[in-house]
Amino acid sequence: MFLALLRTQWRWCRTIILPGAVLLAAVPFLMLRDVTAAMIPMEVMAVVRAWSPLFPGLAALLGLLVALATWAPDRRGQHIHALTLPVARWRYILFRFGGGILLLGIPILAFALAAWLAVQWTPIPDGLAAYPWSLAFRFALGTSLAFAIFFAILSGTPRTAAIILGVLVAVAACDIVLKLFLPQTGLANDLLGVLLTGPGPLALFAGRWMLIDV
Amino acid sequence: MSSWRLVAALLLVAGRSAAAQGSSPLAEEIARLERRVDSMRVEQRHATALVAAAGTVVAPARSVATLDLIRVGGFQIRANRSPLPVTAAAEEAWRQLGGYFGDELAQLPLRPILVEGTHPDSNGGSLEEKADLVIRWDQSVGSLVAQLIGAAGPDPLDADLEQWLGGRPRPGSGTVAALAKARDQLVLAPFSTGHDCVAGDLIACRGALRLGPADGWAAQSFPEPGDRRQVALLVGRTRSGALAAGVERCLGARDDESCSAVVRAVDISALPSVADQATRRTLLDAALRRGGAGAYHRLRATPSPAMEVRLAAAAGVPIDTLLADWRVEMVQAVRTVTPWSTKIGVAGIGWLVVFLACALWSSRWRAD
Repeated sequence: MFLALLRTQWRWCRTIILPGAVLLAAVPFLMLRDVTAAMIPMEVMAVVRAWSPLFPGLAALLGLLVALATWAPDRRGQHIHALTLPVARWRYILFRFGGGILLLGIPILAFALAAWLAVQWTPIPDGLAAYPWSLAFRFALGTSLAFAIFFAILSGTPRTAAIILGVLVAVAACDIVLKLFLPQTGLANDLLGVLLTGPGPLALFAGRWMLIDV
Repeated sequence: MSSWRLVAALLLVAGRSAAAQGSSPLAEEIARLERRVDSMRVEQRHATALVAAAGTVVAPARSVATLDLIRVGGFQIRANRSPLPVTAAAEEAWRQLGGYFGDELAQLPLRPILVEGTHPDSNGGSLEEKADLVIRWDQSVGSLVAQLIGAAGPDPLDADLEQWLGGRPRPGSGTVAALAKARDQLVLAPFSTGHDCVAGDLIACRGALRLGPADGWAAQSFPEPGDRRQVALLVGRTRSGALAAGVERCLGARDDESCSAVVRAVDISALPSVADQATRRTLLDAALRRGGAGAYHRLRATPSPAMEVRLAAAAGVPIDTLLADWRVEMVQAVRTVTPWSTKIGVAGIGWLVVFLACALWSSRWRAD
């Protein structure tokens, strides 16, 4: 059953997975193409820092697109096909989720190998070190987390999506009203801080995503 | 502001702090805000009394601040009566000074100071001209400690040390964050001695930290032709005139002799630093920690134009041992402060499971 579902999922997602793998394999080489042996550490770090915000963005985008592609046919068909299958819903969800994670492994693996190869061919100044596997692991975790977030949202009813949207609008409205009475407060910023720092769900996407670092 | 708004604001800020920080900073924040609310109530009572008395013609009595003498260790602090935690801060400052200067602290008199704690909602104090420190009394103990040490801390009258450090020696510079920053600075320095030092070349460390006699700093810090070209480049951006021709020959023709001449011609104080004073302070801190209670005394009692000799005497170990240990401390500090931690990774996996559970829990297929 899982293999049958994986096969259909691959058909739906391959237009994202394959171009994604090619793009991700190219990024480390593009990033390090200007790094030469004559560069001092500060210059190399400037190059790497400039590219660093791209990685969490790509991880989130890849997770979103694969989650969308995973659920789009089911949503279009009002889940009738899924309901005709002789499988409990929880198993169906687990199969879809597992299939998505498995398919995401292709671009992640492409990225990891490309990052490793790129740093092998790049002269890295003394004092700096390359972290291809660490970055690839972080990328894998970030992509999987983004996939899980959007997978959970998209697996719900339109009412669930409306509730999530409503909560976001309510936070923004509260933020505006509170700022009228207490100008120093920033509810939206605080909420973003909680999400992005410490053990928050989006903390993975914050910080330095550096292929080369001190 | 009405009390319900104050309470709402208090809860909001407390909640925000609880989400972002641990329980101890939260308690401090709540205590600060409570003091502030109390202060505003007092002001409100004063204002009400003034309004009530507006019709009478009574000459207001001149307010004279009552000063208390606070003696903690060698500190002699005169402070007005306010909720400012002067005694607690002085105790902590004395403890930090003792840990830093060791036995020598007894030989280093502290300056008596006058501290005025001012109302957080006021624009200033009544002792502003006489007070050494005018501080809003809702400040934390930590902030007050740093200010007390800065204002009353001992002046060891050590010109060589002050020139090397870029100021008086003070505790609080050997923190993990400072060590991590020092390593980053050395690695990213545009001079070879910076990154060579991090890579383990202790001679490079001596140059980067200017540990030799002052007249040899330039040669020690910039041993490679590339370093001297970099110095010429930096000097050329800010200076012109007599040096301009030399800078042009150095950079244009890549003539190392011209570059060396430029480096020699620049005053020591105007030469770029491989590592800044904060980095040098971390090394002094490491030496004093290593040397124990008598470390600062040995530092003072060792007359030498080279800081490496004095630091080695303070630490009680050869300078190479001290530098090697300091380098290890820096590497460990970077690991400690690195933003990508195992905690975030584990939390990420945890969130992944939570979102999967949300998807499983969804009511999409139920009759709704």
